Amino acid sequence: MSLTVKNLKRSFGGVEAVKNCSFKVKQGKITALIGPNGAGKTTVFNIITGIIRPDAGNITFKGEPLIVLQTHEIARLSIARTFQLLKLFPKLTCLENLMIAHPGKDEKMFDCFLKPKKIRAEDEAKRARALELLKVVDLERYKDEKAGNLSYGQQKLLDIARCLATEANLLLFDEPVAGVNPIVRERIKKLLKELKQQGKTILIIEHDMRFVMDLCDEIIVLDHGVEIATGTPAKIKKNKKVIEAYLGVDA
Amino acid sequence: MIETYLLHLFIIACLYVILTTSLNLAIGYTGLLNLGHIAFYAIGAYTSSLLALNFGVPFWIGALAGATLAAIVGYLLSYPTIKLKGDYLALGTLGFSIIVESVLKNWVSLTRGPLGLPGIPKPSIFGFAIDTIPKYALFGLILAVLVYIVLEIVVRSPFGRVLQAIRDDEMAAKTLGKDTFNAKAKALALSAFIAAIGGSYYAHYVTFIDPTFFSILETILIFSMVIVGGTASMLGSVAGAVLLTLLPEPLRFLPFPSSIIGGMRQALYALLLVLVIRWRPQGLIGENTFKKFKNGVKR
Repeated sequence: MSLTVKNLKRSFGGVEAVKNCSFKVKQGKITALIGPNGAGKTTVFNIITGIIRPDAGNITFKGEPLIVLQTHEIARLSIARTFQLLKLFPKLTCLENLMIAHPGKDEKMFDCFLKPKKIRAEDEAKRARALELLKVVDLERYKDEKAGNLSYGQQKLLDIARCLATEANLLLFDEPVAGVNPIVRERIKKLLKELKQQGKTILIIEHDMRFVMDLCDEIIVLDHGVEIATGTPAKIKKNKKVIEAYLGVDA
Repeated sequence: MIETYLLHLFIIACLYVILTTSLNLAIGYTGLLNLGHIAFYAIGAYTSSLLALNFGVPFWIGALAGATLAAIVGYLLSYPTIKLKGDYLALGTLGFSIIVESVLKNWVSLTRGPLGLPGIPKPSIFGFAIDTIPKYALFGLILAVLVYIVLEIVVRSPFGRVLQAIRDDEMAAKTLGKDTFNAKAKALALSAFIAAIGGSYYAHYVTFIDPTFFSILETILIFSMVIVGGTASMLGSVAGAVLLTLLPEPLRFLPFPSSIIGGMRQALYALLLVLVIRWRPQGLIGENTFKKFKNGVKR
């Protein structure tokens, strides 16, 4: 088991965004977190990555408790994510956006004076890896363009590439194909399948059901901050509770 | 006589290059809207002056001591201001500079308060006395070039890239495993260290300092230099510093009393700032930090 979420609770003012939510994400599988708007999916992501602290509950990643850690410490445990609203570095170039995600040692201020050769060699390696990834998402011709100048679909791809550049084992994608055209969507789908073959564990939030049903091994359905169903796509499609949550109960 | 005047302007321009480039590290590259830069400058000036006057400490030791003290203060300043961003950080750091200024004014037993510190010795480095104006100009040039090179290397290094990432989106930098607090605190410490060197350089040049040298007007001046020159460009900061040092000088030759000329000087800075922000928000040289990017559309 890769990621275990147990009895997670978090409210904002009077809104209980997540209440008693528990689920497990299996190693090497693609798992989807779905549910109607306001079900608490993004809040769960934010709690996993340490951006928001839960009111109660526990999260462990490969046996290590996460909720006591800060965001950057969690990231260093090999967990990476994308954001629903893109969070690229708009004034850095595409290449720099990927280079910065490279899981190297901590960047020290005086290293560029104390060991310039080593830093240059490391940076060259980062650059080579970043170029490779830009090719994967077909953006290498924009390598020196500022990320903020790309179109929305291109930024979406760059964001995914940046997530890959971290070489993390657990990848969290928040609506990776929302608002992108069908061609880019297929490319992202293919990319995620390749990642699975490389042995990565993937958790995605997505509203595009065809995309989810096609791609995922397992689906977790959240509604009003509680998980209401877990299972394979085929099982989830027939689950009565899920249909009710999405379409409402018959009068 | 005219050479002395021009060399004096050159020495002052070097000072502002040091102050402006170091401030740009915080504002332009790290996104820390720091209005307390002048406090670090003051700490450097007072520390090395007091050490020289009271204990006869050589210039370079005093300057390093002042710079180290400023760097420590800069690092510590990061703790109370960690959660502050943008305008709030600007107010927090402005408050800090006002505190430093009022300490200088009121801790009379140490700083002599408003009376100031007269008779600060001219520096002598390893037996080489920097006692004439041309020598000081050369010294200033060497310092400014050194500071420029160090900062340019830092901002182009992987560490500099992290600083720029923090400026663009701190949360995203955190999710990539960057310890953003640590990086910001170090950037502020380096910025403070260099500003303090500028302070020592200036104090030992004019040989007299008092708290009015480190007032909010001076903060506004170096801030204007950064904006006019262009944020996130070290070359822009050099241009801004030189331009704003030289631009008001012709006013001196106008037949007005100095009280009016002083006011005109401030008005000129304000005018230039308004013109630059209206017509060339990215500054003379540099990237545009006022323009926001969103979904590929420049606003």
